[in-house]
Amino acid sequence: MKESIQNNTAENQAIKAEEISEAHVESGVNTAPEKITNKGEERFNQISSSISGARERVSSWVKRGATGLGRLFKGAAIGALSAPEATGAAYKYAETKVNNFDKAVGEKVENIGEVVGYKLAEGASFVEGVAVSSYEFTADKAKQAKEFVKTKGEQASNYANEKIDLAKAVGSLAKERTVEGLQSVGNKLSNNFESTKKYGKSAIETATLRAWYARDAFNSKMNSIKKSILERKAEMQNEKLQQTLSKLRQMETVGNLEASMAA
Amino acid sequence: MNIQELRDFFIASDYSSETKTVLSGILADKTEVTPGVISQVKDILQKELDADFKELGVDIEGNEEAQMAQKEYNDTLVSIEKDLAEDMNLVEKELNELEEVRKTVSKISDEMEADKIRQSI
Repeated sequence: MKESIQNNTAENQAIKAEEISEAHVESGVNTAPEKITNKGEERFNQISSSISGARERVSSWVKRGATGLGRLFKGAAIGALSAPEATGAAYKYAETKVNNFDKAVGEKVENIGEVVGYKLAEGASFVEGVAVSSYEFTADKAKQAKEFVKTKGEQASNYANEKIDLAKAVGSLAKERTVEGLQSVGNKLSNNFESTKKYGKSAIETATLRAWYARDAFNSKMNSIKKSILERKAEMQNEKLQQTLSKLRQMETVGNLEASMAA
Repeated sequence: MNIQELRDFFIASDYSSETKTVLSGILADKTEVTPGVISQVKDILQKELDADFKELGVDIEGNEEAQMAQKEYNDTLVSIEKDLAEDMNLVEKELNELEEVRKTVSKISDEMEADKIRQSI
């Protein structure tokens, strides 16, 4: 359905009312956010399972460090890997990775912020002047979007800091080679795995939220268009028609309730 | 409007008894009106409205606004899916890099153990 609409040429872009209604009623519209969520979850699970056991391996390795190396004394023969230049290179490599990630996430947050902002502005004008649900979209969504961008920014910053800590700990371990250092790196690495997974989960929630907003805006717009059509109908005394208009007003009341909660 | 007032509002509304039953079920265990509750309620109401529009033969064929709205919605969903895929790629890349760090540190750990053995000889 979606593809067929997108592929239409300019000449035959007239979309059949039945097609839109069917898509709307039969899940083309109403289940789209759920489909996006499921798709994200599926991909995330694939990624997670592909590295499954990593955290467990880290844990066992920390444990091994604590017990097997218990008698290791500080200042033991260090070995080739701890040469200053090797340590410096490893640290630099890790630091570069951190900076790259920080930059990538920063850009992503900026992009998402722009997209949400754009959609909000678009959504506001989209329903401006329309009686049905115009108010419900703007106030609540603006508040949520602001919170969302703030949260994403904090997440990115926290994650970058965690990776910097990890890089420093790895650099120190390569140089000092202590059991405490090994355990510290193990804990930090474990936390980093957890944070990355949280980021993935958060991305799914974000996509779901955006899809919900889009669906709200779409439903509001379609309701307003259809309401206008109903109001223009000659047979305004038709009971069903009057009843539907009444239902639309009641839907609007629910929308206003949502907006008043956000105010 | 509190949760009880919301229940009363729907009982007195024009929505069908079937919809009211579904709404009652949704609101039964709720103690307050939250955005999540409202979102669920709106989904249910929208289904009945869509059925009404269909029954009343609301014709939006050739309606440019409706076409634009449909296209806008489709484009937005495509954009959301694209962003989500990018996010997942980033997560995958990060996890793989962390796995590399883990291997590196694991190697250091092994060498520390080897040193310990050498020391004990």
